[in-house]
Amino acid sequence: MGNIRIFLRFFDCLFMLIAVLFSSVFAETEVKITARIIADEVPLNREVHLKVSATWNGPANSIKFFPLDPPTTTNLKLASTATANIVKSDSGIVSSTRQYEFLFTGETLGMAYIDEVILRYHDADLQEHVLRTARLPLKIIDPVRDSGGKSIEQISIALILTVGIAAASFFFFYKRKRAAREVENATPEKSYYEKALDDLHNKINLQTSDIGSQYAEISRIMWHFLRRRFDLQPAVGTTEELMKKLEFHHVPMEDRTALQEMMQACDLAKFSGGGTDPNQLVRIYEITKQLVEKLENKANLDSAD
Amino acid sequence: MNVDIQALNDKVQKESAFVQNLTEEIGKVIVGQTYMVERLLIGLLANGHVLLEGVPGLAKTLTVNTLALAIDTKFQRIQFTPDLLPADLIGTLIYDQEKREFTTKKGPIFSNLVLADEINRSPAKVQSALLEAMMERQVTIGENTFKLDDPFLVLATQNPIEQEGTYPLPEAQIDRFMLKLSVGYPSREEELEIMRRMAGGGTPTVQPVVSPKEIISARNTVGDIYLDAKIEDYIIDIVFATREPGRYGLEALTELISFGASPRASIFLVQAAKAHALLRGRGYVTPDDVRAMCMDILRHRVLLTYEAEAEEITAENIIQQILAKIEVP
Repeated sequence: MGNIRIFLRFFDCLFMLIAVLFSSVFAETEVKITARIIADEVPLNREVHLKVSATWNGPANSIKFFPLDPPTTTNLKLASTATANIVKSDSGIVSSTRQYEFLFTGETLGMAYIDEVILRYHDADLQEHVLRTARLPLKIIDPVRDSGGKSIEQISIALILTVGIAAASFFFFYKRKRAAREVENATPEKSYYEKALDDLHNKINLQTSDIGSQYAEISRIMWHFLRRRFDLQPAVGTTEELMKKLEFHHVPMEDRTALQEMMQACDLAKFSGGGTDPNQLVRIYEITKQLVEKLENKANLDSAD
Repeated sequence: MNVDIQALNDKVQKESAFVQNLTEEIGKVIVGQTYMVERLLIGLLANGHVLLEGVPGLAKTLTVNTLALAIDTKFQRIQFTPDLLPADLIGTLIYDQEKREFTTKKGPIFSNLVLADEINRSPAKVQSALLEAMMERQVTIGENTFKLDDPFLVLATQNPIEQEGTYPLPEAQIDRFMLKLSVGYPSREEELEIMRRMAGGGTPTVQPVVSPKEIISARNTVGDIYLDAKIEDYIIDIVFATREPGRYGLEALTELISFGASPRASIFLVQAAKAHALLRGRGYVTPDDVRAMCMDILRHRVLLTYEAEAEEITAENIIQQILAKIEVP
């Protein structure tokens, strides 16, 4: 008899344990509903933002919600709705949130009202429950300056500036790259003496019929050479002025005479309206070449001394 | 343009053959002053009058007198004083009691070479009478108009150091002189030679070596001398640079020039450059001829601002800067 009592008592405890376990698993889940408007004074040209949240502990699918109708409003027009499920886990406890968002626009200035939000749901036991929120008042006030346009303007300016800076940067880098390439490819600069001889060789055509232009070119080449050779000032610009300057630089008489002959022949061709002698062109060319070499050799000798 | 430059050169050399002889003949009396002598010749050949500026004692009168003798022309010197009247210059009508009529007495201006000494000492009325005769080359006395001789050259002088009690020539009147020469002192060697000649007593006689007809013929040849388009552009650039220096990269001169040279400067520069080319025996003008004449043509035509005067910048400084900047063709 005593053993049966002990045995019965054991089964009681076991049943109680199982019941507790079941009750913890199948206990009723608490769902909490909140309804909130972001601001209670909303400009006429802004939206009224209503957030309705239902939160409970447990997985999201443990509560089955009925479709939620937008609440009845006064002086408001529904603009859009949105729904979201949020599930969080904190220290092993899972909590879920079903969030509803409603956007309204004010119809006129003055008070506006959002009536109760009615939320229906089934729990895990398929028990139907209803939750309601309170009526929410708010005020529709004067519209404010539209910052949306200003931001578009700012964005446009920023865009233009960005494009401009990008273009300038590109141009600058391209130019730098090109200059670097030119420096790489550039051949060493010739001396004024080498340039004079090169120009005489490459630019003078002794066979051409346009003799006047060849005299003019010979004159130009020689002037360029003499300016560099004797460091002539811009004030020295004519044959007579040149001769005086060369005398000052102690250029030998024979060289000055040859140079004067050459310059006067070029002046005749340039300023006499066609008084050119094709036979003399070759002679003047040779005189020029010899003078360039002679004057440069003298310069080298002088500097060696 | 097809120019027979060889024929032109030959003609020029023939017409200018007298220059060497003339210079030597003048050199018998005048020591040095080759610059002044050459410019007087250019004035004669280009048919332009000359304004001489220099201190007393530089042989200005003697040079002009010698030149007149050498070219066999008449010479008159007129000393301008504050009490001079226009009639003293151009002449007047005089009543002849015997004939009982007015007769014309021509004034000293009726000569080939006229030296108007110290032109700035006479009042404006006399200056105008002279300048009018210079431009018109004729004079009206009473109801009759008389043409002046050819060649006719006026050489006016101004003393740069004695400005008290003078009547400065207005710019518009100075502009009528083709050349303004700045006559300087002779060199040491030249002055030594002058002393020796003058101390010896007696002045050498000057013989005519060229006739007025030859001068006129040479003057006509000056007109035939070839002027290339490049030289024309060069002259225009120089003259325009005095008016719009900024356009020629001479911005610094804008504040210094109040008025640039007039179109008369361009005309005179062409004529003088051609005369210069003839004296060099060339039938064409080169930049050398233009630059040689620029200073004498422009120095009295470029009017300066107070800023330039305050900084002691002269018209010569400005012209030198212009010539250095304008590219020679």
